[in-house]
Amino acid sequence: MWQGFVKWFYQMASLPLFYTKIVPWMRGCGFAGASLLCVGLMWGLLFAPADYQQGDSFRIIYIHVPAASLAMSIYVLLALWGLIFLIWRIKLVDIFAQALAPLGATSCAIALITGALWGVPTWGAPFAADARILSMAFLLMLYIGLLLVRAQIKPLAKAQQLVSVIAIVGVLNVPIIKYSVEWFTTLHQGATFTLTEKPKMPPSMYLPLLCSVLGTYLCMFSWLFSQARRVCLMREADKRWVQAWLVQQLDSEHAATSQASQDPGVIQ
Amino acid sequence: MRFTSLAELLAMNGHGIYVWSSYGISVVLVVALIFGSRWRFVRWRQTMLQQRQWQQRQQAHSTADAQE
Repeated sequence: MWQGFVKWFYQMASLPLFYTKIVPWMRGCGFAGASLLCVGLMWGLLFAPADYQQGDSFRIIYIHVPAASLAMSIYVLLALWGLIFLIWRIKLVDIFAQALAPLGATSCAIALITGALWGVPTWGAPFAADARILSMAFLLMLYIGLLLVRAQIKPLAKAQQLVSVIAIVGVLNVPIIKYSVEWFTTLHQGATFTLTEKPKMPPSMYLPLLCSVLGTYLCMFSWLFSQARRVCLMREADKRWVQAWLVQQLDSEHAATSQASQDPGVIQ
Repeated sequence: MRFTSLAELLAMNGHGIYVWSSYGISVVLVVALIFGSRWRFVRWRQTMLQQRQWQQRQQAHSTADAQE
């Protein structure tokens, strides 16, 4: 059992094997996640009851909460991968970090924008000097920093080191975001889901939210795998397996064009 | 269904503009992320394929020259 796990681990750390073996996981997560997300959003928009205080504006929750929790979880993953990379120098882990950072930045931006749009009817203002909002804005800055370092710092080894360090140091911000609603007096409402208590919402409101949160996480894994495959190819461009992949791509393109010129009737 | 008509669904009792704009902006951002990444990868693949083709042609020429 343990040996099997070790073998699997080493196989997964080898990039050409990862490139082919991950495909079913990528498709499975993508299909399941997209369907769950669709169900959750439709359910939340069309069937969930309106909130007794906030009215229909609360339906923003079905996009705001998944985006915010995704932004925080991705940052924790980046920190974890940064640590693993600094200690063991596993290439795949750094590729994962590069693949996931743009999604983290996007979901952080979505959380902030939807939060502002929710704030207008609920608080009467899009932003407030609130601990939750400020720490979330700081998370977006950290994400932008990570993306800039990746894009601008040139020897790859230097960028990898810097990114890992920023991720590890910045992760201190995540518990501040998480517990800001409990530690400080904030405008922002408390957490919807906690591990220890039943949600304060009725099931007709929290079940769609659960669906969209789970769907978002599955979609994240699908995106991670597909994007990591691309980063693998781009990083290893001069390696033999990528050259073989290129030859294969050229051959299939040739086959497609020659077939098209032979029987144009198929296309028409 | 909580809403009886399309107009009611769009209006959401006066909150429609906030709800629908937040969903719209999120969709736009995610689509931009997906297609932006795809575009960058496709561009990289195109340049690599061209490079590879050029190399293959060079090789073909040099072997032809050697045969002559």
